[in-house]
Amino acid sequence: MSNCGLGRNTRLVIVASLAAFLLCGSLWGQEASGEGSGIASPVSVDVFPAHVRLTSPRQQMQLVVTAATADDHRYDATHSATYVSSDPQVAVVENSTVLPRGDGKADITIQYGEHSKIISVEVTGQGEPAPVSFYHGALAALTKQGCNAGACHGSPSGKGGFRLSLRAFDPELDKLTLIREEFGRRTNPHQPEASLLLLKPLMKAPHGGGLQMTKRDPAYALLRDWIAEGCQLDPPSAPRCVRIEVYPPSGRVLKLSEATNIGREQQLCVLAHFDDGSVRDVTRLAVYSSSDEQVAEVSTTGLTKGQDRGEAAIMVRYMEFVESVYLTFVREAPGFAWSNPPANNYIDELVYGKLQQLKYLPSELCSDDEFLRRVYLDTIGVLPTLEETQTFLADAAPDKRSKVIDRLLERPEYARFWALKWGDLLRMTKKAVGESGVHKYHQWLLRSFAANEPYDQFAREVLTASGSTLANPAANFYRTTADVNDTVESVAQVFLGARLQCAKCHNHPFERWTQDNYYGMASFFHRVQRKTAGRPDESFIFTTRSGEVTQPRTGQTMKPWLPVAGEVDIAADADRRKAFADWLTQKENPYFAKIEANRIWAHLFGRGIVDPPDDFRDSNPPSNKALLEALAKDFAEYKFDRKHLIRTILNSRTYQASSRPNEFNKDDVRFFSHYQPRLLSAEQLLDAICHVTGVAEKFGALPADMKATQLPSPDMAENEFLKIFGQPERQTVCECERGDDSNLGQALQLFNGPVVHGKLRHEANRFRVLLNAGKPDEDIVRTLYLAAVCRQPSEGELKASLAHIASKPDNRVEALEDVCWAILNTNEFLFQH
Amino acid sequence: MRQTALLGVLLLAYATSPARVTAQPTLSFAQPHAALPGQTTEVTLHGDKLEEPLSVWSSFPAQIEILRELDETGQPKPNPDPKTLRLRVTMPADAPVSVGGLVVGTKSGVSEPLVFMLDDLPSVTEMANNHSPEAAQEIPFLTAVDGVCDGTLFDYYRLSAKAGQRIAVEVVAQRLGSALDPVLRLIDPAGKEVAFIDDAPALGADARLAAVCVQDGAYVLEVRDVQYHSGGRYRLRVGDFPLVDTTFPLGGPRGASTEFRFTGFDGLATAPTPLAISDLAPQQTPLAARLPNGQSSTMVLTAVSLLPNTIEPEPDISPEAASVVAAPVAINGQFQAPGDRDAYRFSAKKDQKFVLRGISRTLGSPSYLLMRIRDEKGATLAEAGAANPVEALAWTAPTDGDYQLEVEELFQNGGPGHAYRLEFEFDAPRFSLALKNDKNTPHTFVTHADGAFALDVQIERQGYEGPIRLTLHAPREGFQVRQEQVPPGAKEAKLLVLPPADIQEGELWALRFTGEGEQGVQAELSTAVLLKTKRPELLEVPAWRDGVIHVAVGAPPEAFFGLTPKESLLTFDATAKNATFVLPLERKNKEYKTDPIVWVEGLPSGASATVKKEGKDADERFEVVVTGEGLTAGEHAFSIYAYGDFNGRGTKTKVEVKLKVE
Repeated sequence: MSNCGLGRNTRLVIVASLAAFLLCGSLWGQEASGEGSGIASPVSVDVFPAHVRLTSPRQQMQLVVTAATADDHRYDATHSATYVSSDPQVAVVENSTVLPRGDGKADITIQYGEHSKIISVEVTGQGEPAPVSFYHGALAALTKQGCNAGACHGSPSGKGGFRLSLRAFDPELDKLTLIREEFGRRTNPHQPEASLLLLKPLMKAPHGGGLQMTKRDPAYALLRDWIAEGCQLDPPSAPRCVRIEVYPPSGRVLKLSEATNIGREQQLCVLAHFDDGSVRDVTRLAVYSSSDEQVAEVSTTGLTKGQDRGEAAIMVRYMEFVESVYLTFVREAPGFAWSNPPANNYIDELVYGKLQQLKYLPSELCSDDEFLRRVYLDTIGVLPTLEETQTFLADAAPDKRSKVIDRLLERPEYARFWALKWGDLLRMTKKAVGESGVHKYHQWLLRSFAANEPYDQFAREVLTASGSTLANPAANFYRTTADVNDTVESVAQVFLGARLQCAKCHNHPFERWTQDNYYGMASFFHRVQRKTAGRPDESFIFTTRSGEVTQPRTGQTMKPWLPVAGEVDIAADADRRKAFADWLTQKENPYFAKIEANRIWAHLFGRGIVDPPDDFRDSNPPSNKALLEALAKDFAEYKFDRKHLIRTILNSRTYQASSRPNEFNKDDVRFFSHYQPRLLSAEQLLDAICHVTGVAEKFGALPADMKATQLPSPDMAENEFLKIFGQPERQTVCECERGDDSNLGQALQLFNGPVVHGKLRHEANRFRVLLNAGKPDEDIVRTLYLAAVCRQPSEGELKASLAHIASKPDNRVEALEDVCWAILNTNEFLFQH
Repeated sequence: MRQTALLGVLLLAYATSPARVTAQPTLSFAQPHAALPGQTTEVTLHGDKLEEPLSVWSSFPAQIEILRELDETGQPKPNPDPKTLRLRVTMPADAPVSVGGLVVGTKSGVSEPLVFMLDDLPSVTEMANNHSPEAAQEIPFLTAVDGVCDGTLFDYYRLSAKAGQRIAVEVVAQRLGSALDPVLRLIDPAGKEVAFIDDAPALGADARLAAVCVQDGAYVLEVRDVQYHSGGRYRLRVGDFPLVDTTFPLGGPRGASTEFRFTGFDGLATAPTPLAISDLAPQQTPLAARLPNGQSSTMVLTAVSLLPNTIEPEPDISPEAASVVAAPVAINGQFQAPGDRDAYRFSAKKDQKFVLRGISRTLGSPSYLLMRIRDEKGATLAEAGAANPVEALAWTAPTDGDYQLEVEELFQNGGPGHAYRLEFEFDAPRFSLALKNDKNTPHTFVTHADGAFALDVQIERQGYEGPIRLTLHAPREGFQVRQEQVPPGAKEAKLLVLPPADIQEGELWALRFTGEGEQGVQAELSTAVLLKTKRPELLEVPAWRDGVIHVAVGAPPEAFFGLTPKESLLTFDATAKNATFVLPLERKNKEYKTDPIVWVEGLPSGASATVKKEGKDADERFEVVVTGEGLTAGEHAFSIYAYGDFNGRGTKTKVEVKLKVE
């Protein structure tokens, strides 16, 4: 309250009344903790920060009040607490934010229920000028309001003739645009409120971007004041932000309740640390986004509100700094009781820990036939033979599932199937590396998987390959990348799980990667050269001993740079790729093991712990961080043995869970409470159809026994069926290139396409051979079911099939075609489940 | 009836049209693919148009006898089957294992060479149906199998071995001109793969491996094409030969003895062996490498030149203590370990020109060379990257002083077999000769007695501008050349070759040509560039083929031009000191559009002649103007020759002229 000339006693009465009002209001506004919220009454209250220091009239401090219950559950009470300043002349609290009023010291009493906390406030510098910083004020304001977003003035060509750098990553450009361009007509220091820079976002002047700001927004005041101060630039000695800190840190669990907001909200406080040691609250200037708005939303003031149980990362951006806060949201599930299923290994322990926290119940184990079909398709890409199916189903040994897993991992089809996957990632095509090149590259990949080459050696071999691409096929990796940019982006996505593309032109909008980082990493690969050689399809890959990368925007020569490690010194004539490979394959590397572990997980479950599996970023958190870390640790400790990891996962109860959801997990798609059905991949589906019908598909001049899941490349033998079902062309390293969306073309292929039709009509297909051998209808139907879905038909299925056959006594063949067609069009056949 | 007659006329026209494609012989494969040294091997050539009369040429120093059945009078009958030809090939006992060529010439033309091998391993033929390990063909140790890849069906062979026995296996395919890109696997008696190889270092697509057996039993070899193509021929050698890539040094001087040792990538090496290199050895000479007490050999090539050898001193010394060399010299060194870099110091005077040629991969070394010249301070003055074939670095010294030659392996590789040869010479004025690089330029010829053919020669002058005399080297007497003097500065020449008068249809000869300039500058005529233009699939042209011009002998072609003087007497007026003899040109085939080359021989002493072409159409003629002083009065005679070529055949005509000097 300002000193408005009232007498002292009058002021005291007013203050007391106000305090009473606030207290009552807080009581009235405060929902009783514990009532209907599922949260026990608090036993203590804590406030962040414990001490507030405001050194300028522009500074303020967002408070975060945390209540703790007896069972150590902590929840946010920021907007339910009351705040009373001991000296409003010094500081007041509005909307849980401390605002300075005058130099001096005061205490703020925070009251929540029966608990209170006092924090001290020190205010100085209120009488001194506090010009708005160009970078940390004006540009921050424009960033806050989204003016320099990629869809608006931050696009490469700007909007409406007004171009800003994307999210202020190039202040030099912004200086020119804001202050000098168009004769400085965008700002009016004499009448700042009449500046176009303000009128347009307020919609006081025509603005294609619509209303983007109100006068109440802190950004408005900052921009207005900056203009009024003459659009000053920051002096060279001005302090620069070096990092941001977000409170609370990750890990807090919020409880959702239908009855109350208590517990489902979390206020964030964002502090910017400067190189002069000062710390400022930038909560109102930071930009917030949620990784999953179905789980949690976040307001422009940093107030997170849970919507549904799950986990979300709240990404906080302030200028070029990005931090993410990971919050877990749980809610009571009436009738939920943890069933305490046994854990086969650490995977189950960690998955169940998460499920229990989120109150999901894992499904029961899948049946033997489901398991057999699933594990064959996941490990070797093809369905089991009839004999293998019958043997397994009849086996009563308790460890039969483990034994099947062990056997499958030693089958030659394992290498062929996983070579298909890595063929996608390595962009192995005839177009890129030539016909003999693709055979040799594929052969190298096959042998690597057959020998179970440790993943670190594999990566090193690829990244440091040199010489003839025919004699050393791993060198083809550099043939499939067009230039250094393509190389660094591919390396990052495949081996680091990072989609770096955005950082080529500007700092990454959603991640910590800067443009400098991009070109720093590019310097490891800049010296790679390619030249043609004597043999057809042959190239030589080699590295020169000189050549540096220049940052295109700044003109700076970039030193080799690695995530976490920073800039590195490498001997002048050394092959820099080796230094990169050394760093990448270290056991301690935070990315390497995780990426591959996640990739393997995604292959087996249809979804990664981080998903998409090659998109690791703060704003795309793992659904189970502890699980991912444990898998990565296991993988690294076992010398990056892929088979070991696959074996461990396949042997887990989590992998062997049924795809049938229960009442307490039917809406879970992220936490692996049950197996998620997914359409067979293009190659798996074609092979499965061939298997059921007994009619193989021939792929050009490739060996007759080569299956679709073993093809070296999609352009070795063009196949329309495979394309329609999503076979990628391998033009990118993105796993997303393999289409998994259903479409009409696929339906038509299955209903009446030439592949299905041709195999059903083939004179030597499975059921025709059985028919000609005099087998009874029932045997034939049972055989088809065993081949397609690894089980006997149910009584109803058998009855329906036999009835249909009986209805065509003069044409059993046609009837069997119908039965087989129907089986091929069931979800049970088409889906992995 | 009318239509039939018309058809008959058309067929007849086709049959007699000189534009009809000649039935040139072709060779597809030989069975076996190799002959043993010191023995006579019966070989069947398979191809087409192998019609008598015919001859066979071999690049090997071998005796070739065409096997013909005898008729009732005991005379050899002509070859009955135009698709096969049976030979007896007798190779010299001391000839090294190597690859060369066989060529067939008939009266219709010359075949493309069929690559053939001289192999000290006896040959067996692949049996059918050896397409599974269970159905593997049994072969003994020390054998070579001539096989054909069947695409998606792999070939399997089984041999017995003892524990501790070393088995060396090699697939010769690309080196035999086959399109096969082989993949080779060795499987032990338990069915486990013990060795695998796709491309062997510096062997291109061919494969080679060695393994020491750990147990007694039957081992299986699997051969397939990496691309599953069918029809690729191969020779699978199984023996005790060393897996050596190169000799060390990589070459030696002609006409001298050099001590060679063989180094290879499986670590086994042979002891140094002095070998004499003949004066006539080609630039790439085959040598055979064999282990002590070994019974089979590996073929290795070595470079031969006139340069003296110097060997990199061992153990390897640092670039700072580089050894001194002086041009002209051939420096032979090795990259003994990965990252090895060798340096040699030399002195040069200002403006002195040098040329440095790096040789490695063409002689079997897996090294790719990066060569540099640095000054005393270490600054790089010139650099040449690795390439196939030999890459030359031409350099001129900027000042008097000491310089350093540096060579390293482009990919920092090193170890056994990583040898190199640097031919360091003064870049003196020189020239090179090659057949004109145009896909229509012939490189084989069919001629006839009293015929002729012409070579279109391109001369690339590198500092030498003087005259060049082209010389023919033929294995029999009687061949002559005309227009062999190439004037100073000329970059093209048309060399006429006249076969011996007694040459017979069905003969086949291999000719070579050289050019000699002033002050000892000389060069051999090369056909490599032309052959690569015509056959881009050839990775390189082997030394036994480069520069060889094959000439077959056939029947004279139908005359396509004639010189028809009205009279054969030329009266020379001693006062006027000249006389002109007119030769009307008759183009007997209207498609013959170029002008024949006309020259004069046999003029009496003191006379000379110039020839000029005059007129057009029906009035086309050559005028031979004879001039001279002090000619003896009376009757003399001289000859006027004309050469023309049309539709791939050359012909020569001659007009005898009586010269009456008054």
